[in-house]
Amino acid sequence: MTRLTRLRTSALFVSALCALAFAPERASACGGFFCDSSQPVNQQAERIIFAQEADGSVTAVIQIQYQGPSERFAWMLPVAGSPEISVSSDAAFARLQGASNPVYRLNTRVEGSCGGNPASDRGGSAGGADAGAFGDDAGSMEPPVSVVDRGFVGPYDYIVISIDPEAPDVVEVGLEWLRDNGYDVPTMGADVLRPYLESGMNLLAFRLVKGNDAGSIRPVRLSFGPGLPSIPLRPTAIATQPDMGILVWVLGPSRAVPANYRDLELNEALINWLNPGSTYDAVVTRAANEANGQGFVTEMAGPAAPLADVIWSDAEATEWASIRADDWTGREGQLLFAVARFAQLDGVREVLQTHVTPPDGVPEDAFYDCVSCYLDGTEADLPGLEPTALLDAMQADVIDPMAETRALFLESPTMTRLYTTMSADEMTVDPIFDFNDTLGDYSNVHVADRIIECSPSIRRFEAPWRVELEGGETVRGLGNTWPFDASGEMPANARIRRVGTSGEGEVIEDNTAAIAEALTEHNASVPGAPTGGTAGACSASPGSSSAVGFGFALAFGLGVFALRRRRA
Amino acid sequence: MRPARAALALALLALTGAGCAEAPPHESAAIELGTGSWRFEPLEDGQEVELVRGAQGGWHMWISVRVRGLEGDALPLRLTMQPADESAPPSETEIRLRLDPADDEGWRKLVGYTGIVNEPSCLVGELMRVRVSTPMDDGTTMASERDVRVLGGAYPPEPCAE
Repeated sequence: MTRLTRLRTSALFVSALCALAFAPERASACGGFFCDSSQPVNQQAERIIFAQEADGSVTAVIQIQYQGPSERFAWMLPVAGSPEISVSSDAAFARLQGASNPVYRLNTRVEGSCGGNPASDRGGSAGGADAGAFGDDAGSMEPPVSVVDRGFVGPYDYIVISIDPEAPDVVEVGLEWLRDNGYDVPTMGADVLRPYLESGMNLLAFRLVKGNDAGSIRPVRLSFGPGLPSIPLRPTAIATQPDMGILVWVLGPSRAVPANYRDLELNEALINWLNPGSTYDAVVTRAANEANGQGFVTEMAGPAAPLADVIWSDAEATEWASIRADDWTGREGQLLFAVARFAQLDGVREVLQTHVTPPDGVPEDAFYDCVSCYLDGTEADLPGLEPTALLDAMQADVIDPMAETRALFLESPTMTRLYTTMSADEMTVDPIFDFNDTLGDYSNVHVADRIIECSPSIRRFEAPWRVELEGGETVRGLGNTWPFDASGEMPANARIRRVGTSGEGEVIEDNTAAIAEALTEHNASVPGAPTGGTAGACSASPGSSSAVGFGFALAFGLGVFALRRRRA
Repeated sequence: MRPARAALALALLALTGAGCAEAPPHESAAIELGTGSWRFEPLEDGQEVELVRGAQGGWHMWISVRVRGLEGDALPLRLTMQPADESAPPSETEIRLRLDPADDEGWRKLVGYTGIVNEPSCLVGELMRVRVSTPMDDGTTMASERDVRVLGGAYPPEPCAE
C-alpha cells in the first residue's frame, strides 16, 4: 500500500529547508524505500552529478524531489558568486542510474542429484532467487540584500542574492528578503546557513513559475568556477529523513574519492545474494554507521564515455536531427507524432502545452497526456501550431538537457559512482570529492558462484549450498534464506579506509579476519548434503562433505556468531 | 573525566603558556589541532596551510583534531578562526562529531573537517589563528591553538581589494 506524504522533500543542499515549513512526514511509498526487489536501489536517494572540467571548473546537476503544493516550493543553495543556471533532465538520471547500479549476479550450478522433480536439478536460475542482478519583483530591494542575478529557466524562477556579511543576522536578513519577495522559505535555525553566508557566499533560490505544478520540477544544472566538488550538506540536516540516500556520480580526470569521508569496502557476505535488493541498502547504512556515519561506498569507477550513449544515444540524436531538419509545414499532425517518440523525456508536455491547442471537446489533461491519442497522424494542418517554434522549444527544453548531460560524460575521462546513507545527526561535515590517480577501475558487477549440494535423499530446495564470493570467502546456507543480515553482528565493512589523492590510502579498520572467523564458524554449523539415500548414487561435493561432520537434520540456523561487536 | 586527569590537563595547559595543550604523556587528556583531509597532520605555529575551494562551497581550510584521554563518543568541539591580528571578529562553529577509534597511541581523530574561511582574499599570506577547544567536566576548557599562514591553494581567491 502506498502512503503518500503531504510533502516529500529532498534535494540535497538546502532543498530540504523547504520541507520544514510543512512538518513533513516520511515518505513511505511501496512500504519502504523499494518498490520491488528487482529494483532495490534507493528510490528516494538524493542524486547529483558532479563534473570537474580540465580547467577545474565544476558543473553540478542536481535532482530535486518534491511532493507538495507548487506554490510552496522553494529550493535554496548557498553559492559562491553567481553560477550559470539551466535545467536538466530526470530521464538522464534514470538512465544513468539504471546503467550504473550495482549488480550482484549469482551463477548457480548443482552438484550431485537431488530427489524429487529431476527438472529442478538443472543448473542456472533457481526461481527468482538466483536472479540476483538488480538495478537494471525583486520589488522592494533594500540593503543589505542585493540581487546578483535572476531569471527564468525551465519551470523555475530563480534569484541569486548577496547579503552583507556585516548585517546583524545575515541568515534572517536573507530569508526575510526572500519571503518578502514571494519565496516560501521556512523558518530555520540561523546556524544552518550562517557559516556559508558569513563567509561571503550568496544565496540561490528557486521557485516554480506560476502555472507549473510540482510535476514540472526538473533537475537543475549549475556551472561553477574552479574547485573541488562538494556538497554543502549541513543545511540539509534540518529536515532530512533518517538514513537518507545520497548518490553521487563524480566525473573527472581519475577515480574520485571522498576526500574527507571514509571509503567503505562492503562485506559482501552480508549482502543477501539470493535477493540483493532486500538487504543492500541496509548493509550500506550499517557500513556507514560503522564509519561514524560519514563514509561512501564506491559502487562503480571506470571510463565515463560508455555511459554517454546510455544517457542520450547516437540513435536518438540522429533521429532528432532528422526530425529537426525536416520541413513540417502542412504536416503538423505528423510532427506531433514524431515528437511523441520523445514523450518520456522531461519537458515535452510543457512544450506541447505552450504550442499545441487541444481539439474542441478534449480535456487538456487527457490531451497532453497522450497527444497522439487524439490526433490523426495524417492530419495535414493544426490551427495555430507553428512547427519551427515547436521544434525550437523542444530543442532548448527537452533535447539540449539530455545532450548536455551526455557531453559531460564524453568530456570526462572517468566516472565514479559513490553512495551512502545519512541521518541528520551525521550531517556535520560537508563531503568533498577529490581525485586519486592511483586507484583503478571498480566494476559495479559482482559475481559469485552458488553450488547446490544435492543428494538423492533430499529435494533441491532442501539441499545445502555454498556461495563462493569473489574475494575467496565461502558462505554456506540452506534453501532460499541468506544466513546473514544487516542486523547481525557481522561487520558491514570489510575495510574502512581514508584515501587521499594518490596511493591506496590508509586502512583505519580491517574486519577481514573477523569476517573470515565468523564465516568459518557459521559454515561449520551448516550441514552438508547427506550421503547415501534411496534414489541411488549421491555425489555430494567434497567441499560440503568435508565441511561438516554431523547430520543434515541438525538445524541450520543454529550457527551463532561469537564475533564480538566491533564497536560500541 | 576524572578530576586528577583534568587537573593534570590544566597544569599542562598552564605550562604551554598560550593555553594550548601539546600532546602530553599517553595517559593524559589532550587535544591537538592539525590539518589534513584524509589523515591527521600536526600543525606548528607559522606553518603554511592552503585554502581549498569547494566548487559551490566557498573556501575552507582542512581542520583535523585528535584527542586522547577524553571520554565520550562525540565530543563537543568549538572551532574558532580569526585573523591573527584580530582585524576581523572570530568565526565560531560548534562541532559534535564522533571520532575515529583510538589508534595505537590512543589518539582518536576527527579528520577532514571543513573550516570555512570568511573573506579569504585578504587572508592569503596572512596569519590565521585557529583554535579548537572542548569543555571539561570541571567547567574548564581544554584547547589547542595555532597561528598558521594562509596560502591561496590550487584555486586561490581573487586578490584582496584593499
